[in-house]
Amino acid sequence: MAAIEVSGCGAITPIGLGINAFKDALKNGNGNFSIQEFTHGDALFQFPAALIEPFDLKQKIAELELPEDVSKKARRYRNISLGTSYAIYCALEAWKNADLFNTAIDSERIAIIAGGSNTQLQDSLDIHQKYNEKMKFMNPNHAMNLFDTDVNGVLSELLNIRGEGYSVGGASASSNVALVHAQRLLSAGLYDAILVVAPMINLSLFEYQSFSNLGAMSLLSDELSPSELCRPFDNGHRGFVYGQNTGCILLETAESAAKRSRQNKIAIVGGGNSLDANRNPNPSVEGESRAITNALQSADLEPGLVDYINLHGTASALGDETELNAVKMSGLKPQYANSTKSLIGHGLTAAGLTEAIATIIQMEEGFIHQSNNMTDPMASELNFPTEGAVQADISYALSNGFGFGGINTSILLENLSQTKK
Amino acid sequence: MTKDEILDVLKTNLYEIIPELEDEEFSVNEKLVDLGLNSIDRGELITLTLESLDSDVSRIEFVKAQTIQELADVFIEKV
Repeated sequence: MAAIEVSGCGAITPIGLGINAFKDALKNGNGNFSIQEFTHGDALFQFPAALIEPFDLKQKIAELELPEDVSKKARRYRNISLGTSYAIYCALEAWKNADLFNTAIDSERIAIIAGGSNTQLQDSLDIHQKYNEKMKFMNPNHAMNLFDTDVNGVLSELLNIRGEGYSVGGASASSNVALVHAQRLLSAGLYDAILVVAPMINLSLFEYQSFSNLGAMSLLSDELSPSELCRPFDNGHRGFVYGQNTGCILLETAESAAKRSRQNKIAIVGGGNSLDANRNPNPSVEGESRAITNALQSADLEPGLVDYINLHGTASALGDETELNAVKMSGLKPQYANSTKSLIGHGLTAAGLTEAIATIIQMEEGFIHQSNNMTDPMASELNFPTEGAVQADISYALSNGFGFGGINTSILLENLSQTKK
Repeated sequence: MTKDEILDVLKTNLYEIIPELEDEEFSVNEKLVDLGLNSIDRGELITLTLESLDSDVSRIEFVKAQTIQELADVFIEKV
């Protein structure tokens, strides 16, 4: 497959607003876990979560120093979900970092793919509760923002994008699916660039409680602080901790990037998907290994050449063990591995894209961030940095994303500044 | 409710939809389109105002109203 380059990224995470802040926090190995509270009737419900710190979005957009008409329009959107509003920031940051405000691409040669479905859960619940007793005054905007593709509409209008656009779902692998799909469209020559965006999935009490009752989500503990609850690849694993993540990546063909004199360092060179023929949440070694192998084969790369894996690593006992076995079965012998979820929680639909950005940052900057809470590591042949970041020249990296319903994905990234030396 | 009071409610809801108008001089006789309201904004202005007045006049009554003044006239007549 042809190299499809990463021209720009944008991110809003619990450990950093914007790419530079996210980069610094990854280097420092900062996690940011706290407690999400809900009142329901007379009852109080509490869950561990990695939350985005409250901030002034309009101020943050103004700080990007964009062309005034775009900046003004971006700050004026109302009646949109929280995830879509964060996606606006991330898309603008990616667009700016890709230098697209200065060197344009034909608007019909750019597409938008949003990763994730049912991302606006708390937003919808707020509307339902607000109008429950006054239904006849129902806010007409709900008819627009109930669709997952509202984010496509907003971003296409804001950035004048006129290629195709839609959202793709794949449970917790959604935004990895979006990246794989974008890479295929670009490789087929259908577009010059694709904006791949993963809006935050905004969970309500109903989802927190159902993930808890399923046994998938970590509960609060009297013995451990919230920052100690997310324990991927540790024998004390307790299930995943939800994390509020939003990210955006502008992918571009090498030809288009060259025309715009872009010196991009990172390319997405492969992607693999697979299904387990299983409706349930449980993972499969064979299925995960097949997705990894598909990713490697799509780039015609030997498994031994992968230097680093950004593992899906949710801190589910069965999930982590299955992934370690799948890595082994695929013949991978990376120098390093880690779980970004140990810092930013599990972004569910947005996890794949945010972790792809974490992988891109580490490749560009030549480091591997530490994995937190590995005080009693699971037995494996993988090398996890746990005492601070380590320096590493990464040529090839894999980033895994797996979802309920037997959905497995893996993307393969290449560091052009290493491989083209 | 007097017409001035209804005009005030309409303006308050208009500022909610387009905050920038609060700092601008404009006439209640300007067309809503010229004030920057698209069809969704217009629908929202009517719904918000019906909500403020706790009234459920049919949206059809407002079809011909093109200005704040004309909207107020419908509210005065129907509410």
